Amino acid sequence: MVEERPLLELVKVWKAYGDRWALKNVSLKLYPQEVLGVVGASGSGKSTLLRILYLQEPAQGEYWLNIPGWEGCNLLSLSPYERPAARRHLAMVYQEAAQALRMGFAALTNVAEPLVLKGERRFEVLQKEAQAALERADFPLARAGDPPTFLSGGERQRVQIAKALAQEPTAILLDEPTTGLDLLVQATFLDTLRRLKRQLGMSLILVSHDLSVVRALADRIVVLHQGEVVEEGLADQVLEDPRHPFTQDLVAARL
Amino acid sequence: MNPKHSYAYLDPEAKREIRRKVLKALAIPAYQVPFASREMPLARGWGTGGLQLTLSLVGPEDVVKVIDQGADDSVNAANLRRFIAHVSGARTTTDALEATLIQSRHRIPEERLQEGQILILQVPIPEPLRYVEPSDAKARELHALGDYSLLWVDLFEEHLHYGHSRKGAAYPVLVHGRYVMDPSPLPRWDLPKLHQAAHITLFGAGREKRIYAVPPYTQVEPLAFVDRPFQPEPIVGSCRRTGCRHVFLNAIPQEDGSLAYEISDQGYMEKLLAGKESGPLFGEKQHG
Repeated sequence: MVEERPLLELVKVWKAYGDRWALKNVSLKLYPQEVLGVVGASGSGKSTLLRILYLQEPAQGEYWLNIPGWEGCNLLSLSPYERPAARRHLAMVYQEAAQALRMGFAALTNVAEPLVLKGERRFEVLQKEAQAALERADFPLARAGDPPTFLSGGERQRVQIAKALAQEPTAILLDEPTTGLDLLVQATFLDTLRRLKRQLGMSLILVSHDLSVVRALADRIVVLHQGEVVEEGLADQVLEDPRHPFTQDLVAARL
Repeated sequence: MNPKHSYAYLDPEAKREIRRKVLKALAIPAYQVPFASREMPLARGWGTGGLQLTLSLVGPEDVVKVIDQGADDSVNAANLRRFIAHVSGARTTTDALEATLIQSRHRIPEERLQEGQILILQVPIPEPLRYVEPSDAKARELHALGDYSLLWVDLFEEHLHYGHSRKGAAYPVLVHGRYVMDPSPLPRWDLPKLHQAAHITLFGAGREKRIYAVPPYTQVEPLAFVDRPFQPEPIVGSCRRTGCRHVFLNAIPQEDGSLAYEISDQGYMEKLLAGKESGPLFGEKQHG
């Protein structure tokens, strides 16, 4: 896996808010069909990192997407008007569904949105493909016409996943996707993600403070501490044999 | 007229500004051009945008028609017509084909307008993205990007729940393949009339301080899915005075709770009632 070319690559990214550094020299790689876990405490720069990955914030450094049409293009140097085109290759799943979904529109409409954005103008096709995506995300189709306002937390996350799937992105970014769900719902939701990863070979970046969630999904882990990558490695390796004192604290705190 | 006053109420600078903005609006079809909407002797929301356009363009040789909901004699139309005639000295008419300037709210006349005629619409809300993107700053960005997916998503939602779009007025149209425009408050019935029209259509939103335009012979397409084509309102009933059912009808509630119908375009109905010959209609295909 390591010999492969990474799908997505951050190289020496720096980001400051005023005179405070939020990210210091952060580099990471996401390989095809891999789940990369990003862990860290609150304030470690996780959210900033995700916003930069999703091209919502400018930063210094390099950001490469190794897919046809984007090779050799540093995404961090794109103008605000070029960013949306690049962003179409990325999907974001938030902890709060309201950040990604239009809460008043039907679940199906939300899932159809990325297809519309791609230029699909046939109603029947939109409907069919959105339904297929909802089905893949194990969303109960009988509720496809309901707006997310009337859906449970777990169902909302499934709508978000379906929306991301419909988009057929290069990588899906997940921001604490299970935080706020009860344990049973978390477990079934993670089952869905694992199945999708296996079946569709999706590439994910999973950001979470919850090590058990990361352990359940991630192949590799990056540990962020005060804006710096302090440890990086295979998931089992990092969780079983943490090297950096902060990681050791984090793993110990799990118990 | 008192020579101490400026011709046609507005001072020359104001008129010049509006004419320049009109030229810009014509050069960029459906693009909303900001303008310094002046205080007018009527409240904003009562057609100040349309009135400023009319007063900037009117001359003594012009023939002016003013309609509101298709009617020449409604209070708003009568007031505006009297004011325009008073300050400009222009002649007024109810005949859509005779008029050089037509100020309207809600309707495009049924008779096909010709080259050289200018239709001026009073617009309440110029921004087609207003209901899907409340922030004007973001809406302008979406216009710049040509990203109208929000409107398509909205359309999808309507088709999903109701099988058709429920928008009567303010049905979004794509103009010249570039900008989406709010043709508010035109009913869906009138939208095909904008497509490749011979006349100029100007839109003035006084409260929102925007002018936009559809130049002659311009592509105007209502947003619609390929497999769910755009449809104007169906005509129900028939006109109680002429028996017609080939043009847009107003529904008039009756005392017994039923509805009576009457041709909405009053100038056209008058011609029919007087037995005068009318010009070809916009929707000539639907005629027989």
